[in-house]
Amino acid sequence: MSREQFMDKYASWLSDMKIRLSYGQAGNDNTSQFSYLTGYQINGGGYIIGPSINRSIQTTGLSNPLITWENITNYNAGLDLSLWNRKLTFEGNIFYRRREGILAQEQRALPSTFGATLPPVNLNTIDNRGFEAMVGYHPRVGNVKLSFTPTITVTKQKWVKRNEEDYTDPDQVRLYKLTGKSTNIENGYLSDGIFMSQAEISKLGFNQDQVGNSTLKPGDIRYVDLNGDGILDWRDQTEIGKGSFPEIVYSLIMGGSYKNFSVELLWQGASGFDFYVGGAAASMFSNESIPFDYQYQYRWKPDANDPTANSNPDAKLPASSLGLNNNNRIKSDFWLKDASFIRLRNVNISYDFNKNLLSKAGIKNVQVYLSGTNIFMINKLGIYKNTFDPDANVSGVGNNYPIHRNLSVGLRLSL
Amino acid sequence: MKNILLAIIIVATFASGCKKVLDIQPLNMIAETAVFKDKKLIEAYLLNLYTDTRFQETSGQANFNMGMIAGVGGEARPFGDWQDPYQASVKNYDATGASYLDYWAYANIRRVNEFIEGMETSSFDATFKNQKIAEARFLRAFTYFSMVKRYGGIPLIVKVQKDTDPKEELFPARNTEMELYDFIGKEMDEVALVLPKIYGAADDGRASKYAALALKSRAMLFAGSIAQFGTVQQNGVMGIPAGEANRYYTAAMEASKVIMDGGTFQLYNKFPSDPVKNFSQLFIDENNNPEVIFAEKWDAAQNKGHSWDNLATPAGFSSSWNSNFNVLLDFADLFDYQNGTSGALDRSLMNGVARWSVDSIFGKRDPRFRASVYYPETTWQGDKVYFHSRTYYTDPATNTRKNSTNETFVIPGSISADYPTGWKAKGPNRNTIRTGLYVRKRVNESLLPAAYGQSSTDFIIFRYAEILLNYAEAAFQLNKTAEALDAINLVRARAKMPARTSLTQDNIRQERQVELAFEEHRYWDLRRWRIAEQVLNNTRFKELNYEYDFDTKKYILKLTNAEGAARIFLPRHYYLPLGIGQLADNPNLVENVGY
Repeated sequence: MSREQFMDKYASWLSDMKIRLSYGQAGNDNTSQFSYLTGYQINGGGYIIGPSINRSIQTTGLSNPLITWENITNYNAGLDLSLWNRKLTFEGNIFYRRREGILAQEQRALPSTFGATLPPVNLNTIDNRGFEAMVGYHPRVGNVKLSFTPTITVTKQKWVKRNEEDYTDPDQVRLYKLTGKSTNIENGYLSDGIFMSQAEISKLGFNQDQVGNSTLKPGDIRYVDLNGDGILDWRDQTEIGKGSFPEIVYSLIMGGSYKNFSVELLWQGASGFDFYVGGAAASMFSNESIPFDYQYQYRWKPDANDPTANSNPDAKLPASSLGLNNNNRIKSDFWLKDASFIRLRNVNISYDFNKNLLSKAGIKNVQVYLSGTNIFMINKLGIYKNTFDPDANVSGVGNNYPIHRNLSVGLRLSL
Repeated sequence: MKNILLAIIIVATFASGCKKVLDIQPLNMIAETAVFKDKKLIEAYLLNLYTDTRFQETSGQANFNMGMIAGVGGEARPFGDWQDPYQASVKNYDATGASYLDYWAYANIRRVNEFIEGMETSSFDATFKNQKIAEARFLRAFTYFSMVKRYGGIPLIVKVQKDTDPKEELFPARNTEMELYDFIGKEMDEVALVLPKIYGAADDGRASKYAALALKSRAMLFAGSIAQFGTVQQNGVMGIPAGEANRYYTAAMEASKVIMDGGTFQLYNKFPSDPVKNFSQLFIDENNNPEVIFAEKWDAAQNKGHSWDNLATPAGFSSSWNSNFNVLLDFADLFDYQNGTSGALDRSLMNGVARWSVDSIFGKRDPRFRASVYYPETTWQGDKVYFHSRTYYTDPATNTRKNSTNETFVIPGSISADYPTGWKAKGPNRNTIRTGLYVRKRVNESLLPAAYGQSSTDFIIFRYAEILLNYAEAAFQLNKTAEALDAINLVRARAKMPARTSLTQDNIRQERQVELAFEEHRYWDLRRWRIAEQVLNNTRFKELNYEYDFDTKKYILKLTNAEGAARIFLPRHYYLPLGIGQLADNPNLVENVGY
């Protein structure tokens, strides 16, 4: 566009400008074969009658002769700008992607007592919308060359149409009906800290364990009776947070050079997703595991003289228990944590020796450098922040292999 | 390159116009129309129905669910808290559904119905058709029984539904609990007239006339006790009118009597002089075992093995997993001593002071206990099973009392004929962690190594002793005490337990729990007797920890909680919830009361 004549008057500062619009449609045929046919298939195992095992066959279920592939439609609008002789550049993109005809089994037509494996039908629609932006800023102050390149991508994915039961119960509609909702949400209970004492259990105004709170112990999680009906049951669930898919991803490259020195930093981060603390990370000693440090430090700890009283002023986590504690394992926001993080992914500092001097020695280039990867991270996991890395592990127990931190010092020599 | 691509596109375009080339049939699929014209395919279809039927729990990771019913029934807990059977036993089942115990097997029901309707249209001779249909009906009744004992009345569907059927059929309301039990009774009466009494070696494993009557015997006994002890709710969707109890008990007695009078079966008694060996072998011996009425067959050599031995074997033997099914002390209490006195251990003496010889606590119990449970110093595969966590002894060098918890430390001077490699201060660690008693029933001593998936022992679904106990219980409830005594004493005589001269309801129930321990009975029995809220509610079952005093050759016992949380069995749990998912799926279903 910047090459158009009517743009000439801006040429002093507008080096380049481009508007992009695109539309595309594609099919996705990643579906099982022969879903349009019905017949029998030989099973893997068998059944023993008499002395020997015999093969068995099983119907493949009902067929859908109309099955077709799903349809993906992409809309894109973009703007590229380059200003002041590329000192400032911008690249932006807004996108909308719609996947239609996603295969699913018809849920409403027939109840489970019908018994047949219903065929996959092109039923569901998901859309993704979002934008990406990248800015480049390359100022120069005297001998110092600087560069900043931030990028950001924001995506939201939603069920536009999902074939599901005709829920009539308002709580089921609220919790289980997904049409119109984001695909990246988690339902569960709301928590309200832990019971610090038996007295707090006794004065709880509702039936949390459905057996008159007789199974609750000091150091158990307290939940919220959301609908106020006096009993904690599935109806008290609500949307407690996001799933494990980061909706916002960002990065920043910072560079600078002065004479023979140069520095480059790469920051990366993500946001808009949650981390669920589960398994042994939530249940101390589960499956004979060794407790994590934060469990030792922050658990509700029985007093040596009075096991119903707490002796840990920092108590934030449930008491340890023999065996798994069902009350504390209910899916709730107690264990769902904002997984946003930013991490210094790469650092590179280098110095190039003077080429004139070197060429006399027959050496083309000598560079000394200091570089590192995964130097540090800032996250919002609170007491879990030193134990879990939301970058490496977005769901679960936290026993996966950690991301390496690497530091290296080097000398690069070219002859 | 471009030209070649173009050529391919052109050829492809023409080829697609010619239907025959691209219209391929999948090679791994058998056409729907072929099945009922071919006896081999009919057989293969029928075997799929057998495979579908959940005769016993084997699902779950590594067959862990083989401990499911024993877990929820308070007989034995699994080693790990994370295993489903443990989770299932401490769960408070609520409106969200039956979870671990869910069994909504309408996919199986539809396949049986399809088979039956397909067979009816086939042109084979009536004898063949009727035989195959009768086997399928047995399997369908077994599946309905598995569901009705969980949920009470459920939709009874006996034809293949089409999506064009009327809405009230496609969205059925629940039948009454009584209709389900009557269906099972009537179906089994009818197929018993068709199925042979006994099969030749080539057909061994199929449902026989007696298998059908055994199912009837069990189901009618269930219906009788639900009528007697339960309450009718929701117009009979839950519960059976009390006036029906005698009719069902009579039906249970009659079905049992046909089996008892048939002469085909008898109690296994190949080793009458050694009742422990005899009772162990009953579950292992597959060579003309006269007690087995119906069994699901396994054979690891043909790639159909299970992992019972791998899971059940104690630590210190050839199993890599081991120690998984831990018997709860409260259940072990039900096994009397061989002289007929109660086996319930006095809890107040498990104080860490009193000393007990292993014989006085376990060694003189009902032989069925010794054949069904590993306890300290059970002889196994030429060695012994050790559970103690510490040994006190007198050091001969210094003549001082010492103690050790070292697994490899051999107590000085302990090598003897009884302990050729000496007495180790501590048993294998895994044996010291949980209840100190393991399920031994159905573990095959000659299987070496007891590896994962390598067990070939058949699952006995119906055996003769159960029929005698069904008969005895039904007779007792009908005040036919003499008949009840005769039947129960046959079972006790085989076990070498003293005969009963009179009977109480507790005697009947105890005998059943002891004889059929760990065979997926107790949980269902406690439910139908409506005593599960007394036995399984608000209680933490106990376990034993052992320390050994080498000087006196006696054990010091400590009593601890075997389970981390109290169990919950509320009155509503006599019927498991259908769950909000099923109710949303079909608005004509009503939920059981209390959810």
